[in-house]
Amino acid sequence: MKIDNGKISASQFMFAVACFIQASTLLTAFFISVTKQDSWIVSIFGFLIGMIFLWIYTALMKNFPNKNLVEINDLVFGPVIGKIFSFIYIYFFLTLSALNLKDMGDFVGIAIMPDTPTIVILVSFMCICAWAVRGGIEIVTRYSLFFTFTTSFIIIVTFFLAFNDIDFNNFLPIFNQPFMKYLQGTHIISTIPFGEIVVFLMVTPNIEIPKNKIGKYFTLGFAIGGISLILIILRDIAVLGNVITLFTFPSFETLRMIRLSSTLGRMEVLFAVILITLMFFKISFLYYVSVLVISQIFKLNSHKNIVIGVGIIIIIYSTNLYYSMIQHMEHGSNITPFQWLIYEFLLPLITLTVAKIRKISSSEEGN
Amino acid sequence: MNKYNRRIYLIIILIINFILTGCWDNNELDTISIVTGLGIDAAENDDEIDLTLQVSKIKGTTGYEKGAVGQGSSFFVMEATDSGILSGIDKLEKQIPRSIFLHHNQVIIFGKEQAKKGIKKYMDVFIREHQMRMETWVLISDSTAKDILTATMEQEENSAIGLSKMIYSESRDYEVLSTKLIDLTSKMMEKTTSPVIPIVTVNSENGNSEAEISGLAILKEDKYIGELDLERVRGYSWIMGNCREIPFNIKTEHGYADTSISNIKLKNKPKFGADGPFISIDFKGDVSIREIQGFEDMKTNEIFAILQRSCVEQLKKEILDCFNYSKNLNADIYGFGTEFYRKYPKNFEKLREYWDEIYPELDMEIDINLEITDTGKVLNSLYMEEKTDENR
Amino acid sequence: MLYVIIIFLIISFIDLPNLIKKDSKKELIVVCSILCFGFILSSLYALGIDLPSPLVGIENFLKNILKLGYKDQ
Repeated sequence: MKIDNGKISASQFMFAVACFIQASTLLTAFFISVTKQDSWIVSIFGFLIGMIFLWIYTALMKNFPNKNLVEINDLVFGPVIGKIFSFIYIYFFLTLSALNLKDMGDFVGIAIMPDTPTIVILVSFMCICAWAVRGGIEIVTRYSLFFTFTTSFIIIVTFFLAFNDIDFNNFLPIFNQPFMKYLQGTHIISTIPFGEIVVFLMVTPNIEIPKNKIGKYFTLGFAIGGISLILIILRDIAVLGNVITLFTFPSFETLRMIRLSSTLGRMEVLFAVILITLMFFKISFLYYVSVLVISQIFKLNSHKNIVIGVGIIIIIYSTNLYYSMIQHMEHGSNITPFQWLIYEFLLPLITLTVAKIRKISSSEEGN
Repeated sequence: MNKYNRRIYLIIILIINFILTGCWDNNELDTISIVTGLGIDAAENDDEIDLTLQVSKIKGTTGYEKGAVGQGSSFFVMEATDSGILSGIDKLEKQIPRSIFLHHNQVIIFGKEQAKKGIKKYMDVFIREHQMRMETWVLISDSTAKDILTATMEQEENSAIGLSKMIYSESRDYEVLSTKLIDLTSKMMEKTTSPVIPIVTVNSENGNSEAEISGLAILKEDKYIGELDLERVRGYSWIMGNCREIPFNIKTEHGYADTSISNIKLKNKPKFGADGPFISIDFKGDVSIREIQGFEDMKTNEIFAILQRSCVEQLKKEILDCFNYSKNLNADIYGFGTEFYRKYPKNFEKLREYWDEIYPELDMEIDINLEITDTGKVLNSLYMEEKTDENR
Repeated sequence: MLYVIIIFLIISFIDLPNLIKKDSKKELIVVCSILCFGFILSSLYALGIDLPSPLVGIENFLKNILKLGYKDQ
């Protein structure tokens, strides 16, 4: 049964995926501090591993067209265990929303408005997200095309503007670090920016195309987002060099360095605006998916009623997550990739395997 | 009901728009004092520093444009003594009615005494604090930072802005004469490189003090150990690359010539030879002759051949002079250590700890190719032999 | 704390009358329980009491007991 009857087109879906991944440019600090000047190599490998995740999700989507994640779990595992799996996903989606909200609050609070109490920023932001989520999936993904194009345009423009400051020697020496670092870096990238697209499994029923073609759009969106991320990392390493490990927001610092003439300097405001817009998209999408999972599990009539409640939970949860930025960075580079691996890789893989073993697929059951 | 609801929402939103526009963080122009220069000097106590802030006075509140800060006609200087920069700034904030705004800071100046004691301690605040930007120029003052910040300049109302403009224009010719905070940080993070920072001196004549950039200071592990005067700066900048057109004059026994070398293509290769590491430098440039004096009774070809030879010799001499000076000080100002690390990371790992011993023994092989491509409007000078019909 | 109570009363007045009219018990229970949960959390936040974070708990579990995790440099 579908709770939200909105329909989105295939290209909206594709740009939503791209926009979602582009919003993770804020999170580059996690792996850049690990692999330093080789981060671009690690990001390419992470991209390839992300394709493996993508393959699993597409297989699930093809096997169970018109069923979202909760329904798939119910079908494959039966009502009780399926619900347990879905509860685990509630925790995952809520945590993702809270983490992204916290990241955005930290960025705005530290870099732009240091005096404003963070909770004010978070609450006002979530009010708008709540409004979007109440509208349903159509509203949430409506601007994905516009955001993706604007962000890609800004990435390409800043790449050229930073050309003066680019020093290709900053990429040397290559492949000089212990192997574990590369492994760790690949692990971080494949789970933190790229693996979060598991959330798109929840909106499968709403997409308006035959499900065997969905793989193409999913992959294309993933490719656009991935290439943007890799370009950003390349640009940051080229401009900043070995100083990049010091910063919490490397892209922000790169944009601070750009100066066309005495009037066209100070472009970091552009970055801040774009980032807030992208984070709005990502957080409202994650918020929407969390609301959807909860309403699906409890079989509510409409998702609109619990939007505000879930929003409040997410806000308070985000203030509660980590003691400090330091703990956030430390955990983010070391332990979080493993935890995310469970939700993004292990659980869908188990679902797919059990579905294949039990030969369950939605086309036999009739919808 | 729906339309009614929508109108109410619209009104609420419009009202909220006017109320909630960043109240906490607004910085009105008349509540901030814009800092344009920051100076750090050594105080009597070893743990403390004398902090000098140059604040720009803004006359009138009309037309605030980004970058055109020195609209007012003067500035004033504040000082404090404290063990840290930010606590010094806090102290100063209590003395003036407006809060201190660091985003437009143009220069950071360290006094020579303080540079001798070490600057690394105080650099952390510049990297960490959000209001300090990474493209701020860093300078070392020949005397104290306070002298530079209190100097007035003829053309500019505000000396820090004047300094920043001066550095910007100098850096077009000699890029080494400018150091941004981010470059300084980057060099300090490399273990083998000695950063260089431009030195600024104040000449007081007739009551007017003029600041000028007079050389480069060499730091070894954040302490000042020596300086390069402007002649050696030229020798230094030949190797560092990024020069557009550098004037260059030669004295030979026959005459004097003033040339400029442009279009420089430099290849700077670290190599491992039989005796150990050495640097091989390939230098290609175009010489334009700007002035010739002397060279009586000589033919054009001879003159140009002599000039070319002397240019090459002089260039080699300048480069080696600066290089030997840096070897005496045992300061790797060229970043050769990093070049080795980048090209040969495995070999260099073992050598890195001994770089202090290796550097004074480092050899340099220079291969210079200069061609005279431009001689101005004329080929011959007034002194030269008249060409007869045979020579043509 | 007072603000928290006021805000929650406002929220409930917006949403709940519709639900009570429609008389769907299950929805009412779920929405109310979520709002209650949110109310408890925000009151604790307003009162300044810090709850332990579940994310940190799970990560410590993974790190110490299952020994999964990269060593810090």
